[in-house]
Amino acid sequence: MDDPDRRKFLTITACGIGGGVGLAALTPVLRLLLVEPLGKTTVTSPREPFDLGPPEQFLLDAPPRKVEIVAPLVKDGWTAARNVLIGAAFIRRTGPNPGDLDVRSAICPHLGCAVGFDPVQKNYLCPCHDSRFAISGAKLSGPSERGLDDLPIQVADGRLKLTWVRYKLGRSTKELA
Amino acid sequence: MNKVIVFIRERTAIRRVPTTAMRPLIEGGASFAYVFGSVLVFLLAFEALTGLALAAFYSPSTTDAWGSVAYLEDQVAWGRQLRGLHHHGAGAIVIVSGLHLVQTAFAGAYKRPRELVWWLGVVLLVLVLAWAITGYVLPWDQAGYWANRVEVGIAAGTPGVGGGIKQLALGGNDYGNLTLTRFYMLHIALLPGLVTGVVLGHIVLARRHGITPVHQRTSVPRWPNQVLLDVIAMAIVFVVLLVYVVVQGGAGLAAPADPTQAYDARPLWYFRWLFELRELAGRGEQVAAMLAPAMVAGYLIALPLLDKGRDRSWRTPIRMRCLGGLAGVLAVIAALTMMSFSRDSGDPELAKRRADADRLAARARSLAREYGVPATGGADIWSMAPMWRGRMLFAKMCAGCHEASDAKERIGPIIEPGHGDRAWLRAFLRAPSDPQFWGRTKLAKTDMAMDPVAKLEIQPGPLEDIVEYLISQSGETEVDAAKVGRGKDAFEACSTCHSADEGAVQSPKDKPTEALGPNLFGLHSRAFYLSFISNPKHPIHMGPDKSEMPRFDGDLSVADRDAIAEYLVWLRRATPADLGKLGPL
Repeated sequence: MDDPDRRKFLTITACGIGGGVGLAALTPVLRLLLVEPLGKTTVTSPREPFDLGPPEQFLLDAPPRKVEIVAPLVKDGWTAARNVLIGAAFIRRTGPNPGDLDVRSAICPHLGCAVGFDPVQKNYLCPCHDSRFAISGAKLSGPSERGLDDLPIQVADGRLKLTWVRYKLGRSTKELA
Repeated sequence: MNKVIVFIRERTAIRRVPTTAMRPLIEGGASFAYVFGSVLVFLLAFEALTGLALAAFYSPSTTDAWGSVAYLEDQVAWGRQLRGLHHHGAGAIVIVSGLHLVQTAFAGAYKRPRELVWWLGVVLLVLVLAWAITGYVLPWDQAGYWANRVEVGIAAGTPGVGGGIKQLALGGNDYGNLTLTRFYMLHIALLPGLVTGVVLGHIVLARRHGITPVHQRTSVPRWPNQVLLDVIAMAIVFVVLLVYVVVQGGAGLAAPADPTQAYDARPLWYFRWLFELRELAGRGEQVAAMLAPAMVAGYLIALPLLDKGRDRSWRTPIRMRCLGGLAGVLAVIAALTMMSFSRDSGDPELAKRRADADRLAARARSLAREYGVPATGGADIWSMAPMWRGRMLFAKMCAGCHEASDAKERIGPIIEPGHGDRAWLRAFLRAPSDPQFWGRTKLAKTDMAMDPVAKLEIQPGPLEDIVEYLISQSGETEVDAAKVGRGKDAFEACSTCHSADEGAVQSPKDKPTEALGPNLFGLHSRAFYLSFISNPKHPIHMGPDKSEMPRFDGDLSVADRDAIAEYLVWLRRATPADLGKLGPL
């Protein structure tokens, strides 16, 4: 009772329209789930240098001091917050001049855990995978590919300014993230 | 009753469930060996139900996640138990999945024609493990946050596409609100949907083929013979889970995620073998972390292809090799897991850091219980402690010079509870250059140092009046008005150096530009402290060269200086016990 050609036509049409509708319906979903996040800045981090006060506060022969990096404004998706703790740096005086400071990011270059200073062994320890770093920041042991990253600073008008930078993790060389 | 059944049958055209789909007979008889699949269905359904209840309390955002979980844990009746059941229920699924896998493997259930059932099972195992990872980050506590950072960090190390994987996982460039909404979507919608679909396929196909008999007994109907064993097993698993949750005290909740606070991140216990493998692999760890799970999954998928014989007895050489391989893999996983835990338990430094982290978590949760989590997020929970900002700033900016300790660094007067109250004023006026007051300042060693009252020949009676007068300056309301009146007159004895008139700068008569002592108007009031902290070298206070205290109007905002001033006013009326009650910072 059914003409084979007609059947074939109906089949192709039904599959075509059905498949088209399905694809069309799926497109916005995939766009939002898989394309939208790529290369998108959802969480801002400040680029201006932070004023950390007079550089003389860091004393020679004192253990490295952990300085918290507090961003004046961070936007996270739809929220914004002032004075947000975004990271920490260890600062240590290396010489008599105001600018003789060694500044290390507290982010472990291995997988990004927060590194702590071990006052007993006088070096840095990452608690996640036990990478150890010398007081100079150089890698001592553990899985990290490189030593602790130094952060750019400048001393102007008696104030220490630090620029907060994140580097790519798990590389043997420092690359901007 | 019958009428109802007839009514429904007629209108749904369902007569009875098709026998081919149900496989009503258990070949070779009912056995506890077959309960694992049913127990898994039970546990998955239980996770769905507990998850449903959890979802009614959980809020997926960086500001709310920790707070909502802490609320459920500490302020909702049965909340901790519910979350504990959900958390450890996932662990139970992993264990029972392992038993299911071992049972079916040894029964030879992966052999033709049941390969698809086996492969779907392997897919389920992978999905369930991924599901657990997406759940662990949701509370946004230190434990979940750092574990997730490491896990995403490993995935981000994939050559070529790693960066893209990371951005897809985080929902953007960094951890934030969109990370949580994304993991929440995966955890409560996408993965449950996928798992449900694969489970249905797995069960339908398994029923088509029937169980792989392990006994040679006579066949029995599934209902009620096998079902009875199934529900007994479910009951046993549930009781064990319940007892475990009660003994463990729930799932635990660490302090709110803090990107600057080091934390000893550990994965969920069923990933510990990978954690240990990375540790052992040293520089090859990236490869180990990716390759090892892929190899295990690959071996499981390859099993039906390696062992193609019809014989399901485990005594044949090929079966022994294949099952031996599986047993070897499981033994290595178990050994690595135990090594990881014993490495941790043998590390006293780690135990100390854990104890610190536990204290921090307990403190955060008690603050959340007592004051609530601020709308700015769990990370700001510490600020809810009374006087937190003032105390924190005091500890950071002032304690070095003012804290009571034998350390040489202290220069200024000791500031502790009771600072500026009547007893303090009395003692100070009697011996201002005592070490606890100005004894360690440069001023105390000069002839500009303040004279004790004895030198000014002020008698104990008038001294009490002066104390009362000075107390009244602080804005204290409970003062003896008569004493204050007399004290104002007695204060004349101090007027060579001090005034208590608003705005007046006290200067020696012959050198009107050089101030002597500070103006005491509003002494120890909040406004006084704010002004003094801002610039102690102002002529109305100590003057340009008498004080070693730095000015803070450059480094601290007016709100911060006021927070310290508020704290100092509070401190005057506080006892050490009051200070203790505020808890640690």
